[in-house]
Amino acid sequence: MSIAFDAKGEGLAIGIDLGTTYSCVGVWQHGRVEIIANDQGNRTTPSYVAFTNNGRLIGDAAKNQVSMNPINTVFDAKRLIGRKFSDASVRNDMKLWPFKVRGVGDKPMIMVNYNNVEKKFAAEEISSMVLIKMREIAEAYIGSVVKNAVVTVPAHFNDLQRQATKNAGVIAGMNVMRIINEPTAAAIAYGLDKKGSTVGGKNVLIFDFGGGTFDVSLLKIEEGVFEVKATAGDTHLGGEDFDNRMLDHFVQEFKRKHEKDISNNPKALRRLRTSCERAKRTLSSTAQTTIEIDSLFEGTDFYTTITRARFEELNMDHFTKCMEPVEKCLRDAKMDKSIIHDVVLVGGSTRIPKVQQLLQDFFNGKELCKSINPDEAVAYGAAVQAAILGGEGDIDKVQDLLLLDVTPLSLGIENFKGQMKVVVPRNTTIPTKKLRLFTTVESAQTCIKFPVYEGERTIAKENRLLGTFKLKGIGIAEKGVPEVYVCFEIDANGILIVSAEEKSTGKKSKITLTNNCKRMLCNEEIKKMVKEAEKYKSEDEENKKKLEAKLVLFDYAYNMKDTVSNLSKLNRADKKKIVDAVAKTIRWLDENENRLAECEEYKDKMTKLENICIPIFTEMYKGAS
Amino acid sequence: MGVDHYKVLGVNRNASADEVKKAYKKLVMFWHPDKHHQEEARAEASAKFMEINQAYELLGDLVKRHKYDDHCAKRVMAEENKYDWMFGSTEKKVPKTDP
Repeated sequence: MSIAFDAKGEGLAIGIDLGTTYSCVGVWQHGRVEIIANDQGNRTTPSYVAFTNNGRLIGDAAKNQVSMNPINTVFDAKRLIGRKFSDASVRNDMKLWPFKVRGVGDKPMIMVNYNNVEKKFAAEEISSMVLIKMREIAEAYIGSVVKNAVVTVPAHFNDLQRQATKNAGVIAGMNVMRIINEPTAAAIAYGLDKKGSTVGGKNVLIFDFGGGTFDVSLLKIEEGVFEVKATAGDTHLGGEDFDNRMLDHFVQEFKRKHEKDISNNPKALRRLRTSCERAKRTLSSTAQTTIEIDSLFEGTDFYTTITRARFEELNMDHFTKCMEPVEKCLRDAKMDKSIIHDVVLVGGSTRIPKVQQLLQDFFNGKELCKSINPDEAVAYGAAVQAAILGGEGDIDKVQDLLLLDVTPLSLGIENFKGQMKVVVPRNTTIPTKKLRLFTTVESAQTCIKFPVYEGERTIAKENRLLGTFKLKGIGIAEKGVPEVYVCFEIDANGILIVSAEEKSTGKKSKITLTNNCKRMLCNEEIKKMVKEAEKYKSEDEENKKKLEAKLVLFDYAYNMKDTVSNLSKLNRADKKKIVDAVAKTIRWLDENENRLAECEEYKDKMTKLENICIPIFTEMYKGAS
Repeated sequence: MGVDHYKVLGVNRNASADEVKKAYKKLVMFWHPDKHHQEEARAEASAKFMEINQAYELLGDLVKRHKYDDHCAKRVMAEENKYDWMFGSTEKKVPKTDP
């Protein structure tokens, strides 16, 4: 495999769709996007992290054990990231989670039991673990270290949530080159930015219907600028709701057919739910499917069929509900549906034919963009952007794509009346540089304070303060005479430098506002989390070694047990010696099933067992020859 | 200072709105810092990109373009080095800041 490196020698950059329930990773290679499958062969990985007494699990391994270990299996971190504990949405979501969340200084912290110790994690840390997993998946495929990534977030994420997502990348030891909007990434995947240039730009509706959330966004694409005009949706509607409806239906059916109620049997429900999910997927391509579960409840088998029509009937209210946010989105953007140029399908639930049909009917029979796997479209677009930013070879095909970033909020300075004086208006293309002239308000004033704010309110205090700096040593003059130029400069990475210069004296002063100092976690906290992330990683490796040592011992013990029982040549005393030693070892393993012992312990047990077995066998063979 | 924004975009004074837009798009595609990966080239591109954007902010908006043309005609009256901020904002008065 040939590996392209960019000029900086940092290797390929990847695109990561960090989802609420599932994540997906892609890379631009050999002139196209490759969506990368994980070690289980799945092209999406559950955004799950589990803490057990045998170490930490991420992805499929974590999700697979969720019913055994619900309170220490964390998911939905995206619903917490960048939020305050007092937020209403956090309060409501908490009721639905089996894991505990506690507020530490209004920051929500997830409480879990890890290796028999109570631990608390910030949502950023959980997300960083998922990012580490996605990076490892990519590294295994590419065959070299990956440092840089583009990560996507929902269009409605505010600055704090975006920054927290970036911090998750830092904690994972990665460089998040850019955060881009999920709908924008989907539009890039379809190349909608370049399909003909329509006068006045292009209006694109992105219909993102996933496993747990539903987002509708309206984008205006013009000259490489992807402007989000409006967003709407339902934070708790998705494929899982359809599974629940089907589950209820079959529970009733089981009651009718067999006069038995399975609704209080979690294991039966879990098995039925898994079958429902599979049936739902099948019904997107066939008109009818069967469910066959042996011995579902008290020895009773459950065989049944379900048609697509029945499935649709069960969920019709959910499906029609999906059209409301589409209407709302159009209303908010003040657009008529007739001027929408493209409708893009994203998320697994958009495979449901009824959903497609309702959407198509709403847009008067318009063709929907659905040629890219809806689970992968966002990661696809992120990978394209990563390739452009990374600048590795073979990017000729995407050379004509340019994603222009704009300032989402206005930036300005508070004047002496407490008003916000905008220097950089919102939606200004970055990088940018803007100058404004300021002066003194009192005679003989030698110092001016510049509080820098972001936001749209006219009263500065109602916006967010980013930082303050002073310009001292202004020459003594009448008020209003000194000319002070204030310059706002934002580079392509969103780093803002505000500087002030007084003309007559040439006195200068400036402040640099990187995104990091903008918020939530201070640098020390991030550093601490980075260190901990490294610690957890080495713990994972340590656990892996322990697990291997345990398996070696396990194998040897059972092997001996098996061998000895089949050997007739062995005298009774020796046989008993081995059987006893093996039984002792197995008992010890059973007693310690729920905890990992140190490597040395396993090795020690192993040696002891070998010291008993090997001499006996050597003796036996000697006697035989 | 006193940049000729038409020169920056490489169009002549009676270029149509569409021509201005096309010229802008072409320049931006080339000069955006994301298209340059070496440190030095990136810095140069960044500066150039800002110039292009500044020019387009004026010439891409018919009202602002008209004002600018008008202003250029009366260039003598204007202090050249104040162009940048004067045209970048809609405010005419010099704002003041607190002590």
